[in-house]
Amino acid sequence: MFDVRTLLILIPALPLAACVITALLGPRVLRSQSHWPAIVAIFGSFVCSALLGLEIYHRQAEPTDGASARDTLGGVEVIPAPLWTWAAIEGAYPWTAPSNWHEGSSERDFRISVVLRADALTAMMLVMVTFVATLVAIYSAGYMHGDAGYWRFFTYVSLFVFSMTMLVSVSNFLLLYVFWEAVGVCSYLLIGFWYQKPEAAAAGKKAFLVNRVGDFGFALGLFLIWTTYGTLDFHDSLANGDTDPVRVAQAREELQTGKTPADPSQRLTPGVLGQTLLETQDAGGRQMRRDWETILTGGQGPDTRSYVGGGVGLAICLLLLVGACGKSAQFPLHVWLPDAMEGPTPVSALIHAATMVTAGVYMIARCIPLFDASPEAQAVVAAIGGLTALLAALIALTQYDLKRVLAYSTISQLGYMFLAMGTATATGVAAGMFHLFTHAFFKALLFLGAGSVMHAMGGVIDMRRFSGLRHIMPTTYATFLIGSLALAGMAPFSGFFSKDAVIAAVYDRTHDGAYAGLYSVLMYSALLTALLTAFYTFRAFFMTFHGPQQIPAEAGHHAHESPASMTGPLLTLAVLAAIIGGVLFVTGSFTHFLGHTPSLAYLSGIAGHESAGGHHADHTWIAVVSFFIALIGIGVAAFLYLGDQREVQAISKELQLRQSPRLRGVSPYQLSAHKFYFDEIYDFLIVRPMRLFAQGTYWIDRHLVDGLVNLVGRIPPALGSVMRSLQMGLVQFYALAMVLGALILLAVRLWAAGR
Amino acid sequence: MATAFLPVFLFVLAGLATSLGMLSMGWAFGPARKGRVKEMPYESGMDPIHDARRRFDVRFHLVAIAFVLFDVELLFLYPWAVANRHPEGIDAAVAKAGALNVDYSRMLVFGEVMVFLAILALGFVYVWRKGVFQWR
Amino acid sequence: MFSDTTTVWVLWPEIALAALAVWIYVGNALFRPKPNTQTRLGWTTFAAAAVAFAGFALYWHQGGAVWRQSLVLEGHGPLAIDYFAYAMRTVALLAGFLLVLQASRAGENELVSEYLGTLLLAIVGVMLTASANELIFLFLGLEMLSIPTYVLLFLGRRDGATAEATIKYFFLSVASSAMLLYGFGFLYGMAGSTSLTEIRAALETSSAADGGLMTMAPLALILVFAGLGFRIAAAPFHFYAPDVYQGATHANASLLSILPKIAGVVVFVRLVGVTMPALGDFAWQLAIVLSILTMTIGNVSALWQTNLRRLMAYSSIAHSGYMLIGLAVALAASPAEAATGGLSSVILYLFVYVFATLGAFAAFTYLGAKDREVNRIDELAGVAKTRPVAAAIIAVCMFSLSGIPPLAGFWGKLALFGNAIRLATNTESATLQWWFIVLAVVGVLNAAVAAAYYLRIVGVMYFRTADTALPSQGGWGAWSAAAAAAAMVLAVGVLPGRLFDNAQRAELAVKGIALPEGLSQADAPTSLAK
Repeated sequence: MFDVRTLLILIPALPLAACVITALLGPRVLRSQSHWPAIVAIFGSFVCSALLGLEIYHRQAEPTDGASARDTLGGVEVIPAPLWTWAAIEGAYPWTAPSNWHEGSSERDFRISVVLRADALTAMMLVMVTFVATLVAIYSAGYMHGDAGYWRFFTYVSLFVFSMTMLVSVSNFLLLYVFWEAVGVCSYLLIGFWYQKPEAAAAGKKAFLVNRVGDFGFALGLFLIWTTYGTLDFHDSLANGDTDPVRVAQAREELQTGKTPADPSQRLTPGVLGQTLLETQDAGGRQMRRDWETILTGGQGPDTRSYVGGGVGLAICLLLLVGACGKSAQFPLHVWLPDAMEGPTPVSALIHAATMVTAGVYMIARCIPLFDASPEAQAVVAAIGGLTALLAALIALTQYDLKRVLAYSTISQLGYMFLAMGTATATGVAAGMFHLFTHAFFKALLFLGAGSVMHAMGGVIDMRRFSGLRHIMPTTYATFLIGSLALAGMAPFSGFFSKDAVIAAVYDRTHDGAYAGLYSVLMYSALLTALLTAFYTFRAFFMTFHGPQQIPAEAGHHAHESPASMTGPLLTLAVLAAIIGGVLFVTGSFTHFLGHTPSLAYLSGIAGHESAGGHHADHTWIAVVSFFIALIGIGVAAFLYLGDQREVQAISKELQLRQSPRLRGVSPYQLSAHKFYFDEIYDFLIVRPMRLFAQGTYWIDRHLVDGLVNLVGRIPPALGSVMRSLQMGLVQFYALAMVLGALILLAVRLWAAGR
Repeated sequence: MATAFLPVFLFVLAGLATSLGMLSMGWAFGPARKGRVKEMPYESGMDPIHDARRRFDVRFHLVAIAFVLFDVELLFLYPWAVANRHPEGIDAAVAKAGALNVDYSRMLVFGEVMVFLAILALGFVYVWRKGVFQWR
Repeated sequence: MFSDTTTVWVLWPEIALAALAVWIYVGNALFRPKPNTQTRLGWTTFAAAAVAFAGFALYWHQGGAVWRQSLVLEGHGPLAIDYFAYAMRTVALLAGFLLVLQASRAGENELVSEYLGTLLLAIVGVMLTASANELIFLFLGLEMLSIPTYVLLFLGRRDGATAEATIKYFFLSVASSAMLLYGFGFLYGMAGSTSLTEIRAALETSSAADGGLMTMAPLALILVFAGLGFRIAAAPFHFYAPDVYQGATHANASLLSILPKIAGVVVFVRLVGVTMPALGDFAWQLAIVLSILTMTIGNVSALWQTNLRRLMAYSSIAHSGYMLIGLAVALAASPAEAATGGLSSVILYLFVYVFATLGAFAAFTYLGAKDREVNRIDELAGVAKTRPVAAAIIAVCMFSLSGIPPLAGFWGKLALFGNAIRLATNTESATLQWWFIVLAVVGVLNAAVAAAYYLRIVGVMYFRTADTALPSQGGWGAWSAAAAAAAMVLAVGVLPGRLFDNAQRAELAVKGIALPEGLSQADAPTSLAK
């Protein structure tokens, strides 16, 4: 139908073009029309993504024949679009081939090919990212109207969409890292967009620094992957970097039959997530995989897994997890996300709720075969996810800043996704991605709604200062209600289905296998979190839209419904937040579609399809329970926050432990309101010692090192001043110097020869 | 090794001796008249009334230079004219080139000389249009 | 020996360019002996078109054939028609095109046709030098470059400093040509032929049997170094450079730092690097000594400079020192060895240097005006605010010249130092190891020193505020030349692979080594239309 490779390249190329155009023309030509390139390009990008998704869906439905059949192995669709080779260092990886593979030992090149790659997971992320980004761009045209940095905003947004689409479509760990950093930079730029505000600048810096910690882990993980697997590519390629599916398939066949290609550059380099390592599909798959293992591990027998387990496997997974925790704001690196709300609200919706923060989840889903090899790593992922979900939900209970409530809820929902990834089962990962997908819509909706409120209230976001806005802003009210219901997990809104799927997937791990006890604890904690989620969501909702009408002074005369460019995206997202979960769940198409991703197909290949189909019936009770839990949460919120607030005062007073002043600091209420003192603890444990250390090293640098360096630095100028005196400007001297120079050289030659 | 370089040094020495000898002989035997005009740095009719580092008007020399240029033209044409009919001239060279399988012919030689003449003619046009031949 | 029709056929881009240059002189004299600004624009466009035409002619006519190395004359002609010559002719034309653009407002209106025509002839000189495989032809090529250069220097500006600079350059250039010719005389005397191929053969056969006339070879080498060292401004033949650059205009200074450099390096590669490796230890030791001397003098002297062109002159000297590293590598590696990377790193470095320098000079030209050039570094203060694009171009070029990744200069230095170290680690000989490790260490130290003065320029532009705004009337030609050069520097920095390949191909070609299988089949431009 369409050339998939062209589409795949167009998707990042369009926003990049928009970024360049806006950056060049924005300040002088476009000015207040700067949103057009971004909106048009991102929408075009969305259309391409949708076409790409459809194409991949069609190919799944009817495995194609001919040349593209070689792309398809066991129903798994991977479409590489090679662009160029970025770096190639020959023989960088000393690598001894197994005896039954090729003659003798060989080396592998360090080769970074810029290859985009389309599979179901990528397509899903692309559709989600570009769709939300389109709506956010349209919304921003209204929200940012009249801002001094209007063109700058759209430049950054386009750049972000470019980076994010690249992040999900690249086929290489190094490029993943590059765009991982690129989205981080965009996030930094946009958090600090109003850099005149000191809080915004500080928040940008905080986000950047905390992410550095995570990225450091990620980088170490990359190094370990390189030394372990000898490549950073996801995909199989030939040793000369060729990714042509036909030739790669040939090389795989040769490898399988034990033939040695005459040309070393035609040998296969199995990618970390390539077919060679993932091969588990058909009936003979198990056996075939053992054969591969034997080959790949140098004949250590069929017990060895194709993915490295043990200490090294655990280390790789944990380092990747550190990276994911930084980007996706998971405990203990979650502290930057609430502060990131200093950025413009559309940015919070796009980057810090729907897209960039899910990059960590995406990365784990992409690398899930690595995690599959290490049950300990799975348990850690699940534990961190569950703990973060609960912790963030507890903090969200007492916040008064509407955007911060949403930020903590984002952290909490990301925790759910991590929990789902931690199950490392095909259904679990699919459930996590499903939750990621639905969450993007309803959380973007909620943020944009909050932005709409903030817009009307003249920048005030403290919920104690406004209330009863439902009459002033009916559209925002209605759409925010839908978003809240979805977030609370109320049937039949989309959050219900996806959250239920996550909990069900965790439940599946509680019966047997490693760490079953841990998973049951996590399941109950997830249910508790669901209760808290419903409560704090509707607490915020009721405080904002119900009660007596109250408008802060800053709003002035602007306290009215937002313009159509803002309500339009709200309505679109509301419709999707309401129905998309149900539609996708009932048809089962999402799980089926995503199941064709190589990494996920690997998991279901291992599980042998045992859980396919039947699990909906098994988990009816979970659906029922979580439905009632949501209901209870909403009910409690309604009871406490609709009407008189006496009960709230009473409960918070009770929780403050006023009777025992010594414990007041650690009373449950204070713990929650002060975010469990994470910022303070980090300040005390890390920031202050580092500052002391820095002062010490500064002194050493200033007085010892600089002294030495300055001393050395005086030598070249001193030499130069000697040389300078020769440059006297007399042409006779210059000529003499030339002749004398030649004569001296000759004399030295004679002397050396005579010696 | 060192002996091999002996001729070189002799050459250098001879060169030095020649130049120094000429200078010293001139100094020793030349008539040394002094006077304002004789001590001027430039004896050819230009008054050294300004800084030496400037482009001076060469109108006086232009005709002389043009003459030298076109004189050189003649110098090149003489050997061509001689070689044209000489038994060891152009014909012999063409034959030798033919033996070496090199594409070389009388027409090429003729063409080369004509190109040379054309360049000189263009140079003539150039100096003419630039007004060199107008004596003020 | 014979300039047969093949010669004419191969050299026709040069011939066409020279004819067009002559037409610029004569045509202008015929139609409008006293040009004004409009005619100036017209002739500049004409000259740029002429260079572009020569470039396309070269590419379409010969690109494919030399790419596949199917058109290599067997050594006896006066021409070497190989990929190296082709690449260097291309570089000369590229640089020449930018030089023409840069000069769109330089000099005086009345003498514009003289300036442009002479510039074109200088480019022809470089191109002829690149093709020369024979001493006389080589010398003619060099003179074809030198003589127009004298005229160009005079035409730059009408004041005492320019006249002084030109006279200095003229006298010293003549002296250096004399030494070069003297060296050529020895070479001819030893080999009995002016063909480089035969000289190489004679040197190789005689190096086994020591004695006789061949003992003169080191003398010839020294004289050749003296003559060419002047062209590329290598110590101790560099003294003219600071004075002459300072006295010249920016446009002429850039010309001086580029065209003779290309020609000098080309001859160094072909005449020394390829023809004389048989000279043994002395050759590479001489190259190393001069390299160390040159780069150190260039860099430490540059630290003190306040005049922009003087600083660039020392920078030019220092870069010559770096390029000699590659020459030393090529000379030290045993002749039998195929591609040592020495020559290819010189070629790579030359390319990188040419465009970074050109970009900087063109930007300086743009920032000044005809009667008010940017002379002192301090005058650049605050340019980042008033002329951000020009400042960015200068910054890119300075970063590249100091070898900061990911710009082109980094790859140039990487190739040079990398090859020197590789040679040192791969050799058995302890002497060789010692020399090259010292060379690499001195080179790296020098690179660090060099960063100081390049970054000082960037610092002045970005961190100081302007006292007075610069006129910025150098014209769009200069601006676009600067931008194109900076774009080239950036492009090579990001994607150096193609340039590495081409440099390697050029090295193989100039050494007469058959291309490996993979290379020869690579995609070629169109083939020779003959």
